[in-house]
Amino acid sequence: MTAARAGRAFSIESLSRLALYLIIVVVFATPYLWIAGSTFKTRQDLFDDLYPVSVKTFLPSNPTLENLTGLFTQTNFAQAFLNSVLVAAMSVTFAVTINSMIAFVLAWLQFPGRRLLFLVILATLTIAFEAKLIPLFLTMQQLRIDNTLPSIFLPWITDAFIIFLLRQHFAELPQDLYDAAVIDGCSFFRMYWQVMLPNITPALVSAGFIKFIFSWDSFIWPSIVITDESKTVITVALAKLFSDEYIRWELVFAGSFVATVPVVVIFVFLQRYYVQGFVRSGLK
Amino acid sequence: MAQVFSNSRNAQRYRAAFLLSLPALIGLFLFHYWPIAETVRLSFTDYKVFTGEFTFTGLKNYDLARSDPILLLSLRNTALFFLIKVPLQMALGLCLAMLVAKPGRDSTLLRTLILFPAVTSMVVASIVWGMMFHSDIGIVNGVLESLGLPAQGFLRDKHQALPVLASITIWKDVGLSMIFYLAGLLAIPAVYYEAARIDGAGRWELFRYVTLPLLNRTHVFVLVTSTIAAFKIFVPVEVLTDGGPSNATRVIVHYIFHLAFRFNRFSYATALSVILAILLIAISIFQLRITRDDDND
Repeated sequence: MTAARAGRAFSIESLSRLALYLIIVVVFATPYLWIAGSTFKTRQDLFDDLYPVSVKTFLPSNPTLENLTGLFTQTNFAQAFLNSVLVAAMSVTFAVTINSMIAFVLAWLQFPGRRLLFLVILATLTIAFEAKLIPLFLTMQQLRIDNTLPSIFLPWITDAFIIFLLRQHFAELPQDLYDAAVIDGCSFFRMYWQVMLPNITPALVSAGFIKFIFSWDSFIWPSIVITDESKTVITVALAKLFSDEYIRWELVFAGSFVATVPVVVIFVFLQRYYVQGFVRSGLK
Repeated sequence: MAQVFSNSRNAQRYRAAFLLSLPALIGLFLFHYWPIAETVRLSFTDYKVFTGEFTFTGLKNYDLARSDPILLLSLRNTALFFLIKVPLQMALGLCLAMLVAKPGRDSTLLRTLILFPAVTSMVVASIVWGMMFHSDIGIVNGVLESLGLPAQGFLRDKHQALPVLASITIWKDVGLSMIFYLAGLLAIPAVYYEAARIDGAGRWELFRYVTLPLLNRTHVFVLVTSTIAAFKIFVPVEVLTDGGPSNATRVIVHYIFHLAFRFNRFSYATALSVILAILLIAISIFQLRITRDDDND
């Protein structure tokens, strides 16, 4: 009797759990399935398959590469994609290098005012990037580097969040490591480059990937500082496709597909680092 | 450490440290401190489009802001957006975290799926949900119709537009809230649950008196960060509604952006930027205060 009841309670619980899983999968996966399916549909099928909503809505019945080729030949998407890749690569390289250097100093050099300097750096986190847009834009104009790719990534290379994250990791390395290197006559710079840096590789990957996502996602700043079509980035190009008088829906889907798939694939592999980066910096 | 180094080596060390810090210090100055100072300075000036000059005008921009009905409206919409988004996102984030906290293959897969939106561009998220919520060709109305329910206006309805935008950003951001809650949950020692169970606590009591209070630091962190994000809402408005219908989704960052970059009203826009920055800091401090008081109870 009790066993039967326990069995039933278990099955009700597992059923409701299953239902919950199903809802979550539908809510989170549907947009991706819709983008992926529609990317390979002809424009005609795209609209024909919409109603009534069924499996057909998400699966191309006459798969075609027309939309993707159209996207790359009839719009400036190929250039925008390349620009986004370049900007992200530069953002990651510079951000990881520059911020890890000062993070190392903050963690391993005793000097008067060290805590104060760290606080002054962290204070930049309280001011929203959005509040600095106007002087940043005017500065880029005055320096005559607006409409260049560096003007996109320069303002977000130095990042107090990354300095904080990497400083934590540097500070947790054992004193013995430092002492042994000093006894071997290691210079301060080699201490950073050859002794300490290789020991925080996971944190560097976290910081780099988070910066990559930030750069890839950025929209408001590139849309301000770039007016030249050939220097535009993928988010701005996509928004423009979507705001055209005559919207070419099939290209909008293909553009969303191209903007999303590479990042999601990289994410599947680097997920652990992404999560760790946020968790470690958030809860300490 | 001092005894290990001779004086000359110490000097060498400080020089190396200075060189290592220099690029970041330059970056912080050029792209953080200086623009902040400039924002404040420009907010006391008037920008002339034809000459491109900024002339000092004192508090004029702030006086203008006090009686700007669109500013008031956009602040009200932003606050409403925050009120819809943040509580829902926190509750959902916590529920999802509890659901996927159990180790296992299905938990891992769900976590990954729920985090996909976090790495998807806000522009893509806006566009795809904008199309799904499209009142004529959207899937959501298609599903409603096949269930025999009336189709909705969604982004074209002035009462529904802001909640729809909030749902889109919750979909995008809930994964990160879940991750923070998950870290918080996994940090709760199992003995607390065992002790409470021995005292006869049921499931609800365990949640109410063990899980919730022990997550206090996580609540504060998620609250403050998601509030700041909510007040900076911009992309879905710019991509989907442009502030409409009838100003129902006009929000503060969107208003500032358009003043500055569509109407060249740089000075007035910087004054509003200053107001936004102060507002965000004040709200964060207020939230930290309140939650700290809770702690002392």
